[in-house]
Amino acid sequence: MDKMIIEGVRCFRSEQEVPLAPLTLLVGENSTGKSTFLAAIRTVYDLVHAEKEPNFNEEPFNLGAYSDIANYAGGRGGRAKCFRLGVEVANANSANGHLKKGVADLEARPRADASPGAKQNIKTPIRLLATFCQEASHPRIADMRLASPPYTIAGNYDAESSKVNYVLTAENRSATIKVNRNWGPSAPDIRFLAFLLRREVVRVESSGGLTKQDFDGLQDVLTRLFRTMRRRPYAMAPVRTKPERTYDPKTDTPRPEGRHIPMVLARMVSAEPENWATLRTALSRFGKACGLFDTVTVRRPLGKKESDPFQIQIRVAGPAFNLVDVGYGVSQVLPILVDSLLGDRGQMFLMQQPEVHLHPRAQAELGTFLAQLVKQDRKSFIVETHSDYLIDRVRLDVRDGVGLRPDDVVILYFQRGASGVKIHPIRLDAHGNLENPPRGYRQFFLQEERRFFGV
Amino acid sequence: MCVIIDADLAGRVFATPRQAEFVPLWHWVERKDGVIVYGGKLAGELKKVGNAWRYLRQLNAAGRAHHEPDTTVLPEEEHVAGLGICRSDDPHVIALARITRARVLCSADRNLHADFTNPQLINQPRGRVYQNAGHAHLLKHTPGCVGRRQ
Repeated sequence: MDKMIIEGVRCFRSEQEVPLAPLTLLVGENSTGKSTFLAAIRTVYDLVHAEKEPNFNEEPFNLGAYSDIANYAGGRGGRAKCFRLGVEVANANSANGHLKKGVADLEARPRADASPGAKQNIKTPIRLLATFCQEASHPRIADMRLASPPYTIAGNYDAESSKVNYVLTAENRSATIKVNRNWGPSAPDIRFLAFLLRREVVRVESSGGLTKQDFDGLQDVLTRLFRTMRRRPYAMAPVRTKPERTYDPKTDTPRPEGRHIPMVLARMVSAEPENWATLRTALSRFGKACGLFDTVTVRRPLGKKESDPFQIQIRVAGPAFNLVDVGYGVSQVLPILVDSLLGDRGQMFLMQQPEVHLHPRAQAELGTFLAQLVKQDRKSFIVETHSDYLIDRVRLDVRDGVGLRPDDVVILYFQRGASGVKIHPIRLDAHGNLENPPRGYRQFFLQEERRFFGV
Repeated sequence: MCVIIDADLAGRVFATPRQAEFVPLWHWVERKDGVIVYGGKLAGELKKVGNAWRYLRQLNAAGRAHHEPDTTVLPEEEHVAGLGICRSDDPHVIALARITRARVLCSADRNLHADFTNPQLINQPRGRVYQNAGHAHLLKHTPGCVGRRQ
């Protein structure tokens, strides 16, 4: 995902196109829409891949009903009749635009059976935009447009005929597919459309002016989009679960607040010793670098079986202590570290205040930790943060060339204004300096500093 | 768009309360598009000036101060010193201006004034020296200078 498009959602009134980078840092005052923006990112993924319509209230995000989500301008403006969310993938051949060159080249190579039309659009950007309107108090996809020149796909629901119409266009040729709401999705769904396009019979019945090459080209656009956005962003909660003295073996299904982490560690210790050794080393590296802990271990004081209760032990410069007996920051950062390390290569993570309860030294080290995962595992992180230490460390790592390139980072500054919140992208130069920040950026901090000096 | 504050004047520029001759300069940096440029040996000198370094850090975090690293300043400083035409002993300031295209200098050093306005050292556009509020007109955009463009 290279660009997010958002309009009419909560505090974002006018349409904004916001660039994303492998490490995107969201900064700004409280209630300026940073968490909403994270939720929007997951929603646009669900437009592409989910088997049902996007859920705006799946943990850790809780955006409410339509009236809570649609922008309210007040007065005559009232509440927005519809809102829009979208995404642009600049080069759909590389996941998040930063796959290794070899992999990108491999994916860019046309298939042997690809049509001329399919070859033509190999590197054209893909733009997907969905319009949501209110239906029974909840947002419903009313219209969806996908464009990758020379192809466009427009889907909408026609209430009169109770059908979802898809208009496929290639240059000046077009065809329409009508799907009865009773046997297909009740809103435009590009996964379902891709399924239809794979059916040659649908092509014949609805060919209109489109050629076989056009259908192949359209299908190729969809395939590239599915391939680029193949992993659902993993969202973490702003507050992690409380530590416990003893854990009973339970499910290790991922939870945003990290309740699964102790069980993940216990399972790895007993079932995946090699992976556990790798994870333990990576955790120790972070812990030692910031003085937070030396090692993390799993102890089973009441038995050795996997079904026996266990404890998480933390060693900090001496004997090991139970997780509940060391600083709260350890239990708060542990889910961030473990989930980030165990995530698949190329995975995108959505984080809210990963720095909570951490000492500035650990906050700074968290910046390096994320930067290294971007560099080594091609993971990407969209991080909502209030930590200057984390941001400064990222800038220093860019400056010193130890992890990230300037293009790998973008700071998104959420600034509240008279007409809603505006998102300002701020890039870094090769020396870690900010490029072109808006005037209001960090005005409060400068004022405080001047006050400190008595100016 | 960018200004260099020499260490010999930094005590007065960053003084509290603000001195009248530097009010336009601060207005330009804090309210408009001005950017303070520092780096190389000058950064080391500014670290020793009371409030200057702490406030510079805040300005840098806000994108209103640009740090140029030693890796780019030192080679240029050697080059400038090698030209053999500097009257001052501050070739690092001239080097910083050449790299960043900063064309306004705050300094009390007469020899450095001569170097900064010498077109053989700094040109297109030529360097200017800010000394008091009457020089506020010097605080304007320099094409190609690092820093903010808005």
